[in-house]
Amino acid sequence: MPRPSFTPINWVRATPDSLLDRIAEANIVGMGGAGFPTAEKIALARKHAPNFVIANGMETDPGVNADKVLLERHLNDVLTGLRIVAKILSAVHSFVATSRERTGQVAQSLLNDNETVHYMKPTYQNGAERELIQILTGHVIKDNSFPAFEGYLVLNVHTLFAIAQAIAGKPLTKRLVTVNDETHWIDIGTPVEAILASSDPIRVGCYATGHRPRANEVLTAPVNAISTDKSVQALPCIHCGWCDEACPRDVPVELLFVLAEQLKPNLDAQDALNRCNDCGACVVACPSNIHLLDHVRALRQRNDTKRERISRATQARIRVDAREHRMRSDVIRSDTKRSERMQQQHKWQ
Amino acid sequence: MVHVVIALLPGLGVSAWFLGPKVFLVVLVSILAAVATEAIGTRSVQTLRDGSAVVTGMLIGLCLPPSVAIWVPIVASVSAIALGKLVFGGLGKNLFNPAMVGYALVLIAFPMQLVYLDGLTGATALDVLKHQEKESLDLLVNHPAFGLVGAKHFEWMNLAFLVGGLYLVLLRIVPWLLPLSVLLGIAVPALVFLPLGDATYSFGPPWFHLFAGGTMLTAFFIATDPVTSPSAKLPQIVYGFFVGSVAFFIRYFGTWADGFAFAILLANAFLPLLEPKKLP
Repeated sequence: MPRPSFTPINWVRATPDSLLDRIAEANIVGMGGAGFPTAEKIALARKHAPNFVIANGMETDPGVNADKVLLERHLNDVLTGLRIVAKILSAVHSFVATSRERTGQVAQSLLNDNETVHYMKPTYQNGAERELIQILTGHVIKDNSFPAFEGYLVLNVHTLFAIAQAIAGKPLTKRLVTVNDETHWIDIGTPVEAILASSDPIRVGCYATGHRPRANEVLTAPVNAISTDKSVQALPCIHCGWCDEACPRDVPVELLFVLAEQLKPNLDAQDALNRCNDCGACVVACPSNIHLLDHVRALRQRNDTKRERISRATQARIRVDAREHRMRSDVIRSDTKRSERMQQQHKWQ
Repeated sequence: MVHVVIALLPGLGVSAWFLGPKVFLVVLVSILAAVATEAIGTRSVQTLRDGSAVVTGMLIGLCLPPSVAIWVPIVASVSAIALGKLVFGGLGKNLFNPAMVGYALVLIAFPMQLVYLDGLTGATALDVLKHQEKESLDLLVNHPAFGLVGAKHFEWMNLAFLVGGLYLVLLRIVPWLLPLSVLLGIAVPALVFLPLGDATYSFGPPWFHLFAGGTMLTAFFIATDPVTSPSAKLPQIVYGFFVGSVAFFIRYFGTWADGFAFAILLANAFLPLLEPKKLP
């Protein structure tokens, strides 16, 4: 197998296939947090024309500025990435969504005919894939479908930047990360504890949605922030209901928190747990600094374990029943065999 | 909670202006007693950061008349935190508003201590209403205990609490629906009962009741305690209206001149019925 070359490609002349191959070779993943392989995502959307591409620069994680800084410093590269993806898909229209008015104005002057830029307030759901598609195009992605299956492709602006770099022959070795309030370029693979060296516990990701670092965790491409964990100073819940009010999906957060504190699964809460998309709005709203999302995730984990145990118990029951049935028929069969044999013996005598 | 303290300051200032500087002493003693009880009771300063003990003490101090003996605010604050809050499991787990538990306790145990005795104020307008001897509305309104629209002096304190409360509502620290329904809860029954009065008996117009006693303090600062008030819209309306109207009926029929402490405690007891916690 020939070694893949990583020389610059002139994307205007190159074929869509060669561009997609390069994205696959560069192992680019979604840098907005999902970490899904971008080449696969593009290939999926490619099968479902007509295509619309959306550059997602909404970045609604509270306190995170990585994408905003990127759009300020490298807007041209992001637009190049967007045009490369649009070329691969022969997209009908491309959108740029940003939460900064100034970026929107600058982008406006750089756009082609089939591209539009949208400036929106960075309220929570605006940055979510399905909601963004609905706002920009009016198209509603059904709950059981995926945007790529309907020809819509939403890519984070940092992913588009990485695509432009890969096509230009530069590997992605660092990304913009918001460390508490400051945004820097940080090498991918740096241990997270070295990025934010502090005695307080940290979270990988923004404070609201990030997780506690795993053992020896390093910075990966989808991580856009490293934050100090404020929830260690959490006070008791005062049932003010601000989390319920903040939730964009009307999840009864306060009630889920009360249930989670019982440290046991609650399958009645599963519908509410499924509705939650881990946006972390409740965490930001909480005046007692309670990390509600941690509790919701813990409850979800306990429910998953219990459901798995139930399904395993059910499967075991089916196996045992089948075995008993089999044994019983075996006994009957062996009984009949024996009686036949004995009858033959009687005849022989 | 810092904002709640800030919002209480205009009311505190106006109270001191009319009732004398001893108001500051009463409030300070209440706060110190409440904070000390919280710290000793929880054996930590963890929950003090929340500031709720300070607010509880401040509310008790503002409810008490400045003429009280200095041990009364101490008894009220210690029992508010210890019996109203800590015995239930501390911050966030109490069933009843701690400040009102403490205030109701001293109100029942030492009623003579809680009468406004200063020569400055004399009997309050609510006392006059309670002990009136068949007077018409016009006569009542001309009584020296009455002010421009409400009770003399107390109308300005109520106005100051209203200003502080609106500050909290604008900051969205307090849901606007709760104070509004408390105020409607007292104004609507007052409006209904207004035509029932005649030349020999009257109970004052709604605007009087809005600007007398502890109406604004209760509506914006006591009824809105997040722990003991509902967080959903409809329960908030029911809760607020319940508090306001029960307070009015205590003013009208009850033995107490002002009934907000008992109205709040009664509404707290009904809270689990108002806001059942169920999964959708």
